[in-house]
Amino acid sequence: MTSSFVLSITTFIYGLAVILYAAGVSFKRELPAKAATITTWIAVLANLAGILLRWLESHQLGYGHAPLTNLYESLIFFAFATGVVYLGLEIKFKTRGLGAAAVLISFIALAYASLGKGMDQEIQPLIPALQSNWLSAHVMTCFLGYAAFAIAFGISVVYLIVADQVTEDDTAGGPATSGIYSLLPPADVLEELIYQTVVFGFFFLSMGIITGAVWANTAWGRYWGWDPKETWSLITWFVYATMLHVRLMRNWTGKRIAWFAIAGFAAVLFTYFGVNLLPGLHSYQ
Amino acid sequence: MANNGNTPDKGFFLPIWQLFVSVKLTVVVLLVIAATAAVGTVIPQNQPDLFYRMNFSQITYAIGSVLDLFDMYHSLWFQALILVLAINIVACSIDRLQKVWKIVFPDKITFSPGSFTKKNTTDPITVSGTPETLKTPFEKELKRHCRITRLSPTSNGFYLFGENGRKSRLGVYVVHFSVLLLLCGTLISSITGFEGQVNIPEGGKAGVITLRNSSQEKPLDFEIRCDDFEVLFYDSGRPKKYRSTLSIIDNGKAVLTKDILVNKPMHYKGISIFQSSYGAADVENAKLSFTSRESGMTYHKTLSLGESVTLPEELGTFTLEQFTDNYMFMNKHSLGQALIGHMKNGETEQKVVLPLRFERFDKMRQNARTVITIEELDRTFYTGLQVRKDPGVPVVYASFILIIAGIYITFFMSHQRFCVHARQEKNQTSFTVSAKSNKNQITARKKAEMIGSALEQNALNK
Repeated sequence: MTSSFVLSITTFIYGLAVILYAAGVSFKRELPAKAATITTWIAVLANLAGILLRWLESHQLGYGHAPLTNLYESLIFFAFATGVVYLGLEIKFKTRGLGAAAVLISFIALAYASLGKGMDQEIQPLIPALQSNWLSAHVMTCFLGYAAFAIAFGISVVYLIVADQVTEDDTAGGPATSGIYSLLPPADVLEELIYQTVVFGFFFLSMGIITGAVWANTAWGRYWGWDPKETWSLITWFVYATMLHVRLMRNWTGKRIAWFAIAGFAAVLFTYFGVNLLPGLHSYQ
Repeated sequence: MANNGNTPDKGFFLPIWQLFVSVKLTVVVLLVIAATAAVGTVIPQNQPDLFYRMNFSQITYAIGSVLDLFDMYHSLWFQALILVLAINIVACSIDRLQKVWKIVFPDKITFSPGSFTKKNTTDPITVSGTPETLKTPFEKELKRHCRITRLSPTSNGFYLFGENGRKSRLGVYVVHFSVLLLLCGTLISSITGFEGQVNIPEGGKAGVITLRNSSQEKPLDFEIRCDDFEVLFYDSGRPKKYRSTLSIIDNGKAVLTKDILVNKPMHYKGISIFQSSYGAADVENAKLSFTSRESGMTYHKTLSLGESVTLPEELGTFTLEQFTDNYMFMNKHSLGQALIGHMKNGETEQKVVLPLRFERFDKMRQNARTVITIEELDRTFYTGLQVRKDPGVPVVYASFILIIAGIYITFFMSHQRFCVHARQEKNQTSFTVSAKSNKNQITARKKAEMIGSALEQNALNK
């Protein structure tokens, strides 16, 4: 079994989980949602197996490096990180209502990795610049951050769709038992979740930028060089820093915070993909 | 926001102070820096002037140069934005730290039951035993969850307070301070540091580097000698390893010899030397083939630069003159690296150019009796080194650690306070647990519930 086969299967398992979560919310039933949780666990483990298998394959080719070095590999890790962060959130906040939004992101990332046009799936040996212990630390922290921001984006979209509805249910009586979106947490909890996930992402993005700076200093002799990827990661950091300031110091809440998380994720996407359109050192070549 | 006695209250300074302590300014400056920084990722930075003249219209070029958009991260206006942000951080921190300091280090820690809200209070839990008997075990139990506890009796029961993480309120100032420290570090880097480039051929040495972005020369206190350079490739043709063996020559003596790789620089006297590029410096030997146009015979000869060889069949005498990095054909077509020589046959002498990239180039030579091609080259390389002194790095690294620690404290720790309110109901005791936190309300509420069930368990075990 090759890693790409395992990962193709994983894509479908993520897809199944999304359907089950959506069914749970639509039909107001715990059962499909519980099944969705189990399915997501299976998908995340399969995703991990795919990553480890690819690692093994790279050893068999004589290269032997962690699969974190090109667009394909980063997408696979992104899907995995999103799954892990989501499951953590589900356990910590005891809600299954947001699974469809979050796991859909893992599904899309893996589907894009498998089917994306011109996606280079070949295992390549490491060029000299990437031969560093900082590679794993840098990529993992960045992508944990991206994963959290992606989930915050997902929750924000859910929040904007259902905010008014859930609030009404809330006042009508018992948030967890009534209304169409009975599996969803009440609006204020949703909004708190957006904030909490962004904070988690902000911490890891900071770590990612800093590990990147330390690495750049050992590889190129400078910790900051205004390379487009560096600059865009800083722009993303600034957008989320602004969001945290308006929420904590100016008491911004509700839809404005949700829109901020969406804008922040747009910056993340540009840092991740858009920068490849610009010249620079990070363009997955 | 400037509302405490320690801030300047003179008519002129107050508006300025008020401007700088406002979070509105923070938001505006952060977003303006983010937006303008994006411009520099679209317009290529620090290209030669000619690049911009060729790629932009006259008007765009004029606007770009007036606004410093071609080196915008080092422009005055961009640095001014960062300065405004720095002043803003200092002002806000001074303004708020005074108040927060009084909370974090109070003369006496006080609790008031009224400050807890009903929303963050658990449902009442009823246990057997009177408040009097539960007092001590409850306080003991609460001590396991909270660093500080206080007991305060009421007419029919007691309040039991506990708290954690008072000092975590300072986390945000750790972040702000370390951002300022980071800016100081970059300032130290740019004032006292330098960055340059030097190419050294194998066996050669250099004591002068060319500074980046100014092309000025800067002598070093020592010389760098390149003992060996090696480049390895994977089968696919991708580069695998660049390795330079360098020696530091200080006062005429080799004091340090080390191999450097792309991710493994060497350091000497505060100066770091990085592997950054390489190229072919010269040719030592060339194995050439001479094919006679008449007989079709091919003769193989190995020559070093300057060497001559006389060929059979009276084909002439060939001299290999030099290796050039870039040969300009007819003065306008760049052919890249090439060997140059001449062929002498009696009175006639012909110039011979053998570009490395174009194997059959010599077939075009007019009135020639031979066709010459390169079979093998024994080349020497030069190693391209980046040389940098950056005394700001330790400061910057210290700020990195503090930023991470500060963000962790700010967002993952909070000042949580809990209030256990116990009342006697007949022979039983009913109690609630309330939570109050400066942030992360959900976590605090959850912890209140957790404390509630721990206390209930504790009472049951009695």
